[in-house]
Amino acid sequence: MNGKLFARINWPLILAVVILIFFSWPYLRSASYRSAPDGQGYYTSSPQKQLVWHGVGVLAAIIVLAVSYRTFGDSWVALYALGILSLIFVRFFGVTVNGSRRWLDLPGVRLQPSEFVKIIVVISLAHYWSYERNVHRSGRLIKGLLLAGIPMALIMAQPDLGTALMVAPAVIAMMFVAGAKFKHMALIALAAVLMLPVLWLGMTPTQKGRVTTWVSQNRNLTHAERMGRFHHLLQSKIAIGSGGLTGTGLEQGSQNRLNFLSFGNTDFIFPVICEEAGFVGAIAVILLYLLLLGSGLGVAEHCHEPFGRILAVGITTLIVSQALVNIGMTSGLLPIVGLTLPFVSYGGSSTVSCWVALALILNVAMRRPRDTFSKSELGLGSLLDSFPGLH
Amino acid sequence: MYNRRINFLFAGFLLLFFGVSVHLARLQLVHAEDYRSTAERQRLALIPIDVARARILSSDGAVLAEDRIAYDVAVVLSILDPNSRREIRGPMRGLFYVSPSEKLHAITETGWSVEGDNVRAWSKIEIETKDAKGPLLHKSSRKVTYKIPPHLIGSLQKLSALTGKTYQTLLSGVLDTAVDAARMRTPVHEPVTIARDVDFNTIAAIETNPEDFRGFVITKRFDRVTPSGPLAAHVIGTISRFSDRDVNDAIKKYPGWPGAGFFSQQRIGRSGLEMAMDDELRGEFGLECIEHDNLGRKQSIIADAPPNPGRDVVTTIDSRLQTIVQEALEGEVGAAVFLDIETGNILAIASSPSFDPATFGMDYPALATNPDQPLFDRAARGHLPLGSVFKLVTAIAVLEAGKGNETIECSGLVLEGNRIYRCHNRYGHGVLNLEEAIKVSCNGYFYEAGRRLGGEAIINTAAKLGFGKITDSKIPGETSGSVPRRVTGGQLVNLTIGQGELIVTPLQVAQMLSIIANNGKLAQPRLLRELRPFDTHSLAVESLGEMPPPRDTGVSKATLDAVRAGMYRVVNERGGTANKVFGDFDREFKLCGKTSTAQRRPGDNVGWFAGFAPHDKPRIAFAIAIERLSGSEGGGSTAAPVGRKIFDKIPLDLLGVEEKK
Repeated sequence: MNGKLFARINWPLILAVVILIFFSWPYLRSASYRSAPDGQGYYTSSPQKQLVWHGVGVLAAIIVLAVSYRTFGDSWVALYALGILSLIFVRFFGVTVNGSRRWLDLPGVRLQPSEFVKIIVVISLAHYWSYERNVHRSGRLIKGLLLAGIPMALIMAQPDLGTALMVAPAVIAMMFVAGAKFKHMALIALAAVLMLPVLWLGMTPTQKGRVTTWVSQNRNLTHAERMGRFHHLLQSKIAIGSGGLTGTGLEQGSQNRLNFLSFGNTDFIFPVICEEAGFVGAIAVILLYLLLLGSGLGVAEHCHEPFGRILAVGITTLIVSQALVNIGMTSGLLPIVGLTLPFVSYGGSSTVSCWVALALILNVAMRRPRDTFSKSELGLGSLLDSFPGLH
Repeated sequence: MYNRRINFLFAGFLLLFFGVSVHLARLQLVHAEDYRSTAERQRLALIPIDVARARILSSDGAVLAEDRIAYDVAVVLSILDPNSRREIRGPMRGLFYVSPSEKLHAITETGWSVEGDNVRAWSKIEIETKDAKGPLLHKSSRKVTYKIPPHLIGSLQKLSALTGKTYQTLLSGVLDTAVDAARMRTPVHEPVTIARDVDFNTIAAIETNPEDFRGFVITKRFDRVTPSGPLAAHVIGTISRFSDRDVNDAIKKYPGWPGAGFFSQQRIGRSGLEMAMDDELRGEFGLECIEHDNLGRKQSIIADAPPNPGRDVVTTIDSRLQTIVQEALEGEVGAAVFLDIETGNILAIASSPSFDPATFGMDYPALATNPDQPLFDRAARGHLPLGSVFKLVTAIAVLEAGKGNETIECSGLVLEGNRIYRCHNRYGHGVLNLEEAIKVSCNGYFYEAGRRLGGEAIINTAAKLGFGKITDSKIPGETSGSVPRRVTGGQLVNLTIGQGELIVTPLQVAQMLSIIANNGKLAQPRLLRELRPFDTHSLAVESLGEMPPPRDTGVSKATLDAVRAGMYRVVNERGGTANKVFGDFDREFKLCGKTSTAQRRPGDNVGWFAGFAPHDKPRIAFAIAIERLSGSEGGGSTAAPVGRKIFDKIPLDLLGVEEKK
């Protein structure tokens, strides 16, 4: 990496992620507390492991940064094939945890290939749709959708509806930014709505249950229901709500510490932050994701080359929409799907894939074609400058 | 190049995040208090701390009922399989009881099966819930598979050797609990008893070898025992645990529930003094406000209120006499009551057959089906015909009317209306005065004397002597018997000898004898003496039942002297109905008495022996009733021998008599 490239690193993007990690890690540690009789609770080692994963993620990011993002685009067929193969491999040799087969047991680590397949799908589609003819013609537009649909279907069959559906916002955003005709997009939206019943029929009973639970969460519940299928959602909302404006204080949240809230260090880390840091903490997290969003989309705006633009938009959308859905599901706005909060939740594959995704955006920022009109040319990469619409 | 589209995308995301923020503000700012109190409610619990129930004592200091600590072996279910813990969540303990809107409607199927090293516990539950829209039926079924760890098998085998319980019994104890857990009734972390009341060898074995007994704990509980043997069981009564129905009763009784002083599973009195004096004996349980985690495991104590023990109830029962009376009644169906005539103290009250309150729960099925009704308190509730002992009442009525000097000839039978009433001596006793008539229990004399006197005088005298109403002795469930309101003709003839509609309890008979012995003064029978603080160092004794001074019934001394003289001859003169049994009685005192054989149904007689002692300076009055006599048996041959057994052993201090040197 030469000095020029280094100078064009998008610092606000990195800043957003680093602050997010440093701000949230104490809460991750608090969430790793497991209660035991007579107050003899203990901490699991997950916060320490998470730091290791961040280390691995930074290494992976450096490796990704060493290669031009265009190289990834040019070799998208190989990447795509690798992704599909890994999913098929999981289908046959994967480990089943909590009823779904998502993991590959490699020596020492348990890998979740779908986290990386999401990124591969975005790279592939960004490359495919970087040619205008592939965007403006309806047939080719749909071919692109199929390109995304195959791995999505494989992930959905694990079953992991959450991860599979999280590709959709990125695909839609890329299609939109690539310049798809409104007429086509409207038709695709209509088709998607018509497909919803098919999706419903294909869902497992657990997934359907989560949707009905979400729909009926506000009616008067019986004791059995509160203890049963509504338990998780209610506990999450109690954790969020009882935080109030400023929260109970770090390691003081009863919902978290007494384990009423489960999965507090993975998918449900946001309620822990809400309980212990309050509304202030929750808004801080949201603002950091907005900073990430603005910086990511800013990179896209400054990139005068279709592949880089679409890639930056797709990857940014991938990260930010997952954060949005995670916050939504823990607070009852969306049905519960197994999704991590990017860069915050404990989890190896998730964390490393987030760093790889971040590296791809940075890669675009560093190696994009010169934009003669941009003040970023000065190499300052100022905060305001990186936001869309401000230059 | 579509930069506007990127801006549009950014704006879209901003809008969505703004919406999410508004939602979070609603949860965290508007409804924060609701959620905070919900969080508080589910992490805090009030745990009752049981307190030992106070004792029931005899007047001579023997302990009739007390609490001791029993040790049970319990198993923590989570040792079955740590992974099964996630299946059952939430604190399911019924502290202050269930939500009234939900009740377990029906458990359609439940059970367990052993498959290799696994236990599958399963249940299907239907819960009927009523809400504003009407009844709803929720069905749920749960299946939980537990792994039986090899160490559990080893522990159960060792425990089986220690306790003598079979391995299968112990295992099924564990598995039944697994079913409960599958029904979400028992929190898995809570120890569940599988062997009750184990000995110290077992406790020592488990506590010194924790590795051999992983997941096993010794739990303590209070157990009601009768250290002096089951004395006066009917009077002491039984206890049991507070049931769901009791909760409903208590809600009605105490509008301020649940602060009303009970907790689910608390022990309360069910009968006898345990029930009547429950408020004194039970004490106040303590409360601990704890913080617990999602599995109900205690984290810390937030606040606590210590329990407050109740007060010992001291009865008037003399444990020595009570023991003697119970031994004498052994094998009989009957009852006996001994009263101190001056104080009214019930020195002994026994009903046979009896039971042991300590093992009542286990024995109940056998007790409830026993045709001799061991649970029935014959002494205070037995409704019996009195027979000839009632002749004492007739005699008093005659004497009080001034007709005691008349002699009557007994010819063996009396004709009234178109019926013949016979004396037990078919040839007649000849000419008799009243004393002699009492001695030989002549029916003919009393038939005629009664006819001359009229029914009203006899009925009034019976009422004056305490028949037809309860004695107010505070014996729980005492009944009143009955005296006919008006008698004529044959009814009158029957009443003179205590037959017909007259129904009495042994306690009433003893009371009547105490009036006779105490020169017409009635000291109201009483069972309770005082309340003592559970703490034996305190002197704050509260006397119970400051008794009214003996009440004069208005029967004259002269009358009673005559009756007593007759009763003396019953026991001590050749030819008296109790003389066969007491002829060779040779202790420091003599007694006076009267026997009777009352017919309940043909072939089903009740034998009585009632009287007082000593004959010259009476101290105690007694009544003994023996039921289920065949036609050939009578009071003289059944009840009097029981009396003899008792008086052969009765402690002399109760009679105010010095021991012969």
